[in-house]
Amino acid sequence: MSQEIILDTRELEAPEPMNLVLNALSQLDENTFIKMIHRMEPMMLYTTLVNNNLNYKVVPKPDEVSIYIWDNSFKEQSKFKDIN
Amino acid sequence: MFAGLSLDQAPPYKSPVKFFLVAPIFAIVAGIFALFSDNYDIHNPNIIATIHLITIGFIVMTILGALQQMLPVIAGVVIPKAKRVSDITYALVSLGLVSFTLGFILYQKIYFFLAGILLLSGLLYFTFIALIQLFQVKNKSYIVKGMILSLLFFILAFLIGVHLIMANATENISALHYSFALIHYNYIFFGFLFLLVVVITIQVVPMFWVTNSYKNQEQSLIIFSSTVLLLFYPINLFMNLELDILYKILFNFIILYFVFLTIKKLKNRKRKLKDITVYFYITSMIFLALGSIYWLAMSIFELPENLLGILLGLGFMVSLMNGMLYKIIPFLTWFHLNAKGLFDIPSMREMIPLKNMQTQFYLHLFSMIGFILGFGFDITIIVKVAILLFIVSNILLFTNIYKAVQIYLKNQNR
Repeated sequence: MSQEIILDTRELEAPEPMNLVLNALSQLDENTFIKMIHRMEPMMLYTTLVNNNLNYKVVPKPDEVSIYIWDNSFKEQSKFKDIN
Repeated sequence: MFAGLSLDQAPPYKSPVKFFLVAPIFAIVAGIFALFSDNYDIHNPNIIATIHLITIGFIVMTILGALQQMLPVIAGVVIPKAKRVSDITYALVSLGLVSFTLGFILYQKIYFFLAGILLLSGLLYFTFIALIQLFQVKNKSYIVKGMILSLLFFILAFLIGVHLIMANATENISALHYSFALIHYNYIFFGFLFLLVVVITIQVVPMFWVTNSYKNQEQSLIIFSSTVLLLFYPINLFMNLELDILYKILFNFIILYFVFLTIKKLKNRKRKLKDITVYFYITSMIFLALGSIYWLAMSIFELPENLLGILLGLGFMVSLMNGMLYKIIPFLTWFHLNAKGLFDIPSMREMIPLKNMQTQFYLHLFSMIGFILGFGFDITIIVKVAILLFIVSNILLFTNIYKAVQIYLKNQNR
């Protein structure tokens, strides 16, 4: 059973959203993923995730964006394919 | 073990920061030249030098520094060999500006030629590199498109500017010289600066001040209608269509709409913490609105030209740059120290004392008011006082932003 870390950064000013996510990344493992909810796309985060061999999926919505983050060891990677 | 933000996507700390630190120095020098000027006619060579020390030395230098950091944030764009690009641009633009100033003060042609070559090289070099990266962005947002348009207008305006400077240097002033000058001013101000401020605002206002985002329709309307009007402008001039007033009225609608949206968002921001940078931004927007209306009014009434420069140059652009420096430098300091794995550093809010920023804001504001009263009522002594306030304001700006830089310098080798 996977564990979801929800980071709602919609009302945080830069760079608090980035800070929160960076601090949470060390908790990623085979059972844990992060769902970040933000009011805009954090372009610099994506490059950082790729450079640290992490995976992510962006789900945009009208007034917010959800970013799912997981590492390669995560057991339920297929769950992100159907998220919209 | 995860070590923090990747530095691959950003230039080294000192690359943008040196542009930010030199900007208030150029503003101080501009103030000193103005202080010792015997008249403030905008065709006075000393005043042209002063104007360009502020436009290129303060405004463009700040923008060049900001772009180096904003391109990764806005578009995920990384400037290749960032340190080298930064160093070359900085050297060429600084030397070009010094040469430009000497040319107007001493009126010796060699300095104009040198200035033209140095500024052309430095500014176009950076702009082309940025444009190449921006064109390669897939799925270009309106922000990216707006930035591309802004930089294209900058190139056009700059090439016209070089033509104008060379015409001065060779004393070969054509019949179309004034028309080219008008296109230069419009493209520099509305094509380059205004559009750039629009796209930066669209990105940073929601980001830094937790406001609602600008809707896609709002973004596209402002960016594309500005572009259409600017493309129409030379046609109007060269074909003598005499539609200047219509052009200005339509541009006023766009500008006032942008000002309205921005102030409304800032007023309704979700986290209403005391933040002097909001004051700078709102002040900037108010001066943009006033300047825009004044610009239109100049077509109908006899009004002093230099007041337009005060409203749009100092009131709008310099206020905005002031506010942005107080956000960007702490952000850069935090970002680079965080990337080194240092988390026990002051927060962005703690890096520059609020009281120091407030003092500098009021000095800046009073200098703007002084300029408006002094030029509006043609009272030289008030202008001189305003210049003194402007100089002191920029000295304080420099010392304030240097406080944040010192935090980086103190911790960089930990």
